[in-house]
Amino acid sequence: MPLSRREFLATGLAAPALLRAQAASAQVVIVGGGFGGASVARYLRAYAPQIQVTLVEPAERFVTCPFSNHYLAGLRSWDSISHGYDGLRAAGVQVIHARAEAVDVDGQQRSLRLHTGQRLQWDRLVLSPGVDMRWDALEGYDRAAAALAPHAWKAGAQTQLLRRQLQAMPDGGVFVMVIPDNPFRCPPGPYERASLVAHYLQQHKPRSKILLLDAKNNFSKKELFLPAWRALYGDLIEWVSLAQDGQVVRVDAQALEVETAFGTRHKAAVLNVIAPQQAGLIAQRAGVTDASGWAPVRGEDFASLQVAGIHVLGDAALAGPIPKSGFAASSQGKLVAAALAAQLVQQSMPTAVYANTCYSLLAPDYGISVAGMYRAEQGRIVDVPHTVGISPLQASAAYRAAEARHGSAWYAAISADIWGR
Amino acid sequence: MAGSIEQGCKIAAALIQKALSAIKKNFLLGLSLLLSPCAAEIPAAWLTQDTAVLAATCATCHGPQGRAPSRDASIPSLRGQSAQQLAQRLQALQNRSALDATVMPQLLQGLTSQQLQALAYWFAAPQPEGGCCALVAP
Repeated sequence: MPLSRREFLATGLAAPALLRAQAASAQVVIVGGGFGGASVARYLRAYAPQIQVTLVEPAERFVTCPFSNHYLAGLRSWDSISHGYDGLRAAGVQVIHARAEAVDVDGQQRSLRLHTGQRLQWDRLVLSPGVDMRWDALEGYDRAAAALAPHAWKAGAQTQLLRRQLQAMPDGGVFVMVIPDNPFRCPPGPYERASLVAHYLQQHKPRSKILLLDAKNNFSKKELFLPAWRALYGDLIEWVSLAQDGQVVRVDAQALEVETAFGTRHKAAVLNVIAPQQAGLIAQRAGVTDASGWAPVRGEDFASLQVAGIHVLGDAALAGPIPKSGFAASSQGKLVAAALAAQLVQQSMPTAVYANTCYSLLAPDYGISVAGMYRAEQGRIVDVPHTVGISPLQASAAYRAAEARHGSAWYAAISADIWGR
Repeated sequence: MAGSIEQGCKIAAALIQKALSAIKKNFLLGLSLLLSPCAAEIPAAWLTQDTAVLAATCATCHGPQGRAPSRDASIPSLRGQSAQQLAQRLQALQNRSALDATVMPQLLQGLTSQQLQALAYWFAAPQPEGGCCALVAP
């Protein structure tokens, strides 16, 4: 398709000086320096250097949930899954380490208040706050309980606590994992965690067991996980589905006991409760979430359907068929950056395309994946036909080893792409 | 088929390289090169932000600007190859004739041949200055 002079000029790539002047005062504030928010910041600086970009993130070093299961099993150092913000600062992003406390959305007074009392003005606000636990969703499981029975589903002190507990667990103990119904962060994550904990136990505490109590009958890549567990770990991992009375309704963190819907009690040596989740707290406070606890958005640019001027992306957003993953959040972040650049310098909007690939490691040389492309269609997000699927059910050991290596290569690439390391 | 793509790539890649390096020095001169009669054969997709958005997706696994962060990365760099090599590889992945592939054949089912070609030009072109992912040369 050749390009005429008129079409080229219409693409909006011409006359950057004029556009720069128009956007001189545009300010974008981003809350959350994870895969979604940090991707928006870095790509927005590159797409439209004239826009002022401020990133608000409490942690000076961000610890990723992806590959935190590797850390749990002793396959990765803490440092290797932690990322600082010097790379983003070097790219011209103003990084403020603070908690965002309140959003003011009045037309004239668009501002964000931080816990320090500082107020930031914004023309567009991007919320990428990830998830928070729903502390009222599971009887007996609150913040205090999480100090005894960690969720370890937001990487940080909880992950380190669970690792210490796993290391201290006696040989012959039962590692019990409580797994929520959909939707939740990282759909294959619990099952990767089970695999890597099994790998650790097999080497260090071979008489131990893993009991997975699941509120679902199906899960991501189930048809790959179940036979692989049998082949790699024998009967070390027992998965109990919803239909088999796997749904936990009560947690006694002091006693390390859980109770299922049909009254069965299970005693744990280490209890990992992955609680039901919702969009991060700041999304609730900004008024962008609905009754589901997640934020409905327009598929073309992740603009909130509830509050003008705010975009919500990553795990916090209701993104149709796109899984809640770091990869997907980064993909959404890049698209939002292009959309914001277009809107704030009056260019045409990019065509919304999103990608996802989630690698799961089942053993050091055994990786599997789920991947897909997605696009916007009249406000909704839909699969791109024939692009969504999982690794082949039958594959050689070399194929599984290649996907294990690709998982590590993906992690290095996306970390460099976002944080510069 | 392959012959016409090869020729097209060679011509277009040379033009784009010339135009981009000119844009770095002088925007209007570079623009005039892109708008010259020969450049009319450059696929429109290459010049739009849609290609930049697609290319940004590639960086998620292949590294910033398509450059792998380490030499022994199992997911290869996209930089350092000609548009012709890239286009041939992308086509082989899409039509499932690349035997060493894993996720790419499936992910590429969503792209048109024009988009594949646009990506091949994008990653064969000299890396724009100033940032990880500029929409056009600054």
